[in-house]
Amino acid sequence: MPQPTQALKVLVIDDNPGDRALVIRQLRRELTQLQAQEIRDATELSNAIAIDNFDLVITDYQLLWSNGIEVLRAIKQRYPSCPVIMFTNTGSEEIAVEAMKSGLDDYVLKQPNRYTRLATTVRVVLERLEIQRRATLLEVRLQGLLNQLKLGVFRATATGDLLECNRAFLELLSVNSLAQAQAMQPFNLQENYTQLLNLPSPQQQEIEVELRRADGRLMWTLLTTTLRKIEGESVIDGLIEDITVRKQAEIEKSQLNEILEQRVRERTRELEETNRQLAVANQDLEEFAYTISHDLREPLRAISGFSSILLRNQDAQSQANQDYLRRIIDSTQQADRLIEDLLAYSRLSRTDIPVQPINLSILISEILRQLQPELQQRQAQVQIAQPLAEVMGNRTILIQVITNLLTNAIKFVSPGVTPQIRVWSEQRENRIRLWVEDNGIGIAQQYQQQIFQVFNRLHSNEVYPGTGIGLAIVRKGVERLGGNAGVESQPQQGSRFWIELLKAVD
Amino acid sequence: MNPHRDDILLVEDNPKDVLLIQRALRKANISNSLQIVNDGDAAVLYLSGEEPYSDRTLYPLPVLILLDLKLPRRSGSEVLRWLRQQPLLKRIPVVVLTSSKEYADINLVYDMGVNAYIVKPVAFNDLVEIVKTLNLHWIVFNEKPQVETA
Repeated sequence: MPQPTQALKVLVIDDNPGDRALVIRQLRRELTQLQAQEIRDATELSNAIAIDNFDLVITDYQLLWSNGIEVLRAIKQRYPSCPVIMFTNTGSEEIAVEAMKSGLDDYVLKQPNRYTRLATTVRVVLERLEIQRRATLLEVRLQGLLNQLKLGVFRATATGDLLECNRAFLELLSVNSLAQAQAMQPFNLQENYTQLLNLPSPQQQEIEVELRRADGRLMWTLLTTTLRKIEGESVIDGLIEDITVRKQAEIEKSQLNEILEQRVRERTRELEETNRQLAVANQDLEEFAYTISHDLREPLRAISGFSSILLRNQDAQSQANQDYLRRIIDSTQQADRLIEDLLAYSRLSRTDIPVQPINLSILISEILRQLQPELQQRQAQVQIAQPLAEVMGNRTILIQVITNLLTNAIKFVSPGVTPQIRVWSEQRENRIRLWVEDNGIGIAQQYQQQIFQVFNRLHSNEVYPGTGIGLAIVRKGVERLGGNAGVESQPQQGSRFWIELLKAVD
Repeated sequence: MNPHRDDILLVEDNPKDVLLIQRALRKANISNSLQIVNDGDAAVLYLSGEEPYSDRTLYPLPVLILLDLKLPRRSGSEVLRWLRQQPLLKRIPVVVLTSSKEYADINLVYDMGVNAYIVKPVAFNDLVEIVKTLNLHWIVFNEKPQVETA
């Protein structure tokens, strides 16, 4: 086809030289760039057709060697898109109809008042040709695009009959033709149409459909359908996309979630069971402690009380008997301290412990006031590095814990040594470590963990009396407050006990 | 009723503890009459003046109740709860004298309005000291409330 800058090559077929000249003159009035080739006989025509160097043909009907219809057919046979215009004064209506059927592009009567129409007709024909050419090109491009797509594209009637589709659609369904696809009935399009009808504009929906392809493979597709009116008819325009991989991932994920949820449920059930058992155990412990608290002391009181009464009626008694009675009374008191300490220890496990900011400086001065008699008796010197920090703790527990540390520090000194105690606190990140240092007998490395356990005593009751629960209370107590306790020590070089608790925030 | 009698009601089921408390009172030279009941129900009968305690000359209302918590039938805390609901008796001072140092016990009876809570000591000498203190505080120095005897 000619570009605008190129000359339009026209075959002018006519016996009459005057008519040929007329045609060419008329065309030049409209088309500046024109190369007209005059065809005078059959030989020239067949040569021209063979060479294929023309864009348009204008032919007379009545020729000495042929007629316009024959020429038209010869041209259209070789060049279906090449426009042919008939320019004649001998044609009839029948001929015109016949010629049009054979693909004639236009028909102009060779009458003096019509000559001027020839050029216009040529332009119209050329324009029409250009439009057709563009449409064809567009369609080829569209088709190419549709065929390259991985998306299946189809159009169907409201009753579900497939009207057309692209190659990807067939490939997705693993079929070769639209008819095979139709026979498969991959989607329920009738129902889809009903659903679309009820949707607001744009009448479009996306659904996930699992379908079995012609090759037997199962495939998840995303089906997008849109309702359209084409020339008054409702049609369904559809897209299908293979989402099998995504869908499988989703299914696996949801299965995984299901398994996880199942595990969580099982774990929750186990925890609930454990909690229930713990509650029962705690209840038992509570009852046990209650019994100890109320009942175990009764015989002790009786033994101690009546021994005391006997001891007072001492006239008749030997020195030895009095000694025995004193030992009995001491034993009952020892047993009572033991009960007291055990209860204190078990109380730490049993109760919920409220925590609040505690000022250690204030707390320690209270404790020292309470310990004053003991400190004086031992002539102990206590040095506090003020101010001490604030910690998150519980007053009752901390009093017990720190009292135990201080009484230990006073108690475990070599005979004749004046206890010297130093107390200070230091910050370790968000924690506070409270140190209690003594000049006591110290603890060998191998015993340093053991002493924090219940009933672990390193010394006989005669040398250092006690129940062996004090440090167990210290550790358990600070652990219940979310902290920890420990010791640094060497035999004969004193000990430094520490407790570590969360720093109080303002 | 003899208005000068300042009787103490001891609610205690353990005969050994009763004996020791009586002895401690003597040791502390406390001469008040000690009325003794052995369980919670008896305490309620005594205080409400029902049989066998209907004779107020023999069983006058006490100026102080020493109450054990662990009692047969009705517990000490139940006696206390009952007492504090009696319009005519609720002002009588009650000192719990028991063996438990558990906060559950202590808090419970304080919530019910006990006047003091004392743990029975193991050492007899300590018991003597305690009854001396009780006597001084609740009988000698303490201004007693009016208790209707109607």
